[in-house]
Amino acid sequence: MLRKFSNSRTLGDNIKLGSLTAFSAGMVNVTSVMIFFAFTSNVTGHYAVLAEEIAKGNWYQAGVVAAWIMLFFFGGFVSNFVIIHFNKTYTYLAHAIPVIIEICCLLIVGTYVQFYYSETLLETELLVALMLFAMGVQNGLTASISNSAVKTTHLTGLITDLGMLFSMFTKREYRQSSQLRGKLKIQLAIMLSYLMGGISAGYIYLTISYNVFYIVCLFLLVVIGYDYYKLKFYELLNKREIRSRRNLALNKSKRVLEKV
Amino acid sequence: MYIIVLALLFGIVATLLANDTSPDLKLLGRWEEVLWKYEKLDAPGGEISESTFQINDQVKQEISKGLVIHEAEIWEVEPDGKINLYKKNGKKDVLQWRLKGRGNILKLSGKDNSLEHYQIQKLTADTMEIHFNTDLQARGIIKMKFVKIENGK
Repeated sequence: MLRKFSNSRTLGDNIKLGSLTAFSAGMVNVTSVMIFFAFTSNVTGHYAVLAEEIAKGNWYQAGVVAAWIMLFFFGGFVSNFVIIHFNKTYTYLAHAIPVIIEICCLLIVGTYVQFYYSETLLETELLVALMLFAMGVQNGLTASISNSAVKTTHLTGLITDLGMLFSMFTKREYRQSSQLRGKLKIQLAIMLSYLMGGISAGYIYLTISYNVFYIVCLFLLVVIGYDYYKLKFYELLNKREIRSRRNLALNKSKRVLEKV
Repeated sequence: MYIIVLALLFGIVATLLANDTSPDLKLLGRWEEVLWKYEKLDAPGGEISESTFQINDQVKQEISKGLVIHEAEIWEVEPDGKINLYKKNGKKDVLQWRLKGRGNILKLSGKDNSLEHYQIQKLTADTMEIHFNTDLQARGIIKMKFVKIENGK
């Protein structure tokens, strides 16, 4: 999922990455609405709220919402910054670091809510800010490594794309295009995963409360772990192949020497 | 260049925050309820006039019957998270208050493990407007207006 970059990514890579991260984004968003009464995986609504608060002259609230939007922006910035600076030397690590940052943010939020949260407004504002940063990081990562094919924390663009795709499929030539069909598969996978994440978070929150955050972290660990496992697996395969080639070459040269 | 943009963004946010009071501080003090009316009303088949939005005392009692704010006329918001609701008959209910979201959701809890959320539509130094949904009597949004009669300690 994370090992490959941009155009070297397969449809399967993008579907796996999109589904898992969309599932976690759906969980984060629903949990934050239930605990903090604020959305944390998208900022479109926050722009509308910012405009409303400015119009009403509520400068404090406008400042808070502006800070939230900025943190989503910084999330995307940090994510892409890490990727473009370390991608050539440490590809896997460059892609894993943003996920690790996201896990850290969510762990902080989960632990704080579980042990220290006294529901003051300042705490709520700061925790929402941290979650928006985490979602910005995730969105930046998935968009960056998939060449903008996968964006998983909000569905506005995705629904527009789906509408456009379905309209294109009214023509036979587009229906037969494997590229467009692949895109449809990714979009549907993301949409369903996000929805499933939201539903399961709602259900889990009602039964095991704040532990939802730890479950989201587990999902993200799967993303990192799966790729690490694959990376090691391919390394092992490569080593074996090199060894067998070397053995073959040695045997050949032995035979040649024996003949001589 | 990046540092200038960053400083500018932080500067804007800091200025906005510094030039206003946080909603949880604005909320402190004694508030007197001065108005109860429908803000929005779903009246299928019926004509809606200005008087339709008015709520008389009987309807008000009916709507607020199951709510923690029932019959409360004075709300005293304390900084320690307590809210005292004074009723007409002199009785007092003590609940817990918290603000959620960006300070636009008022959470009241405490009485018989009840938990209610109200939308703070407007909050200034001396007025407060709270909205909540109802489907009793008629489906709609109730607007409660308060004026501050005493500042918080």
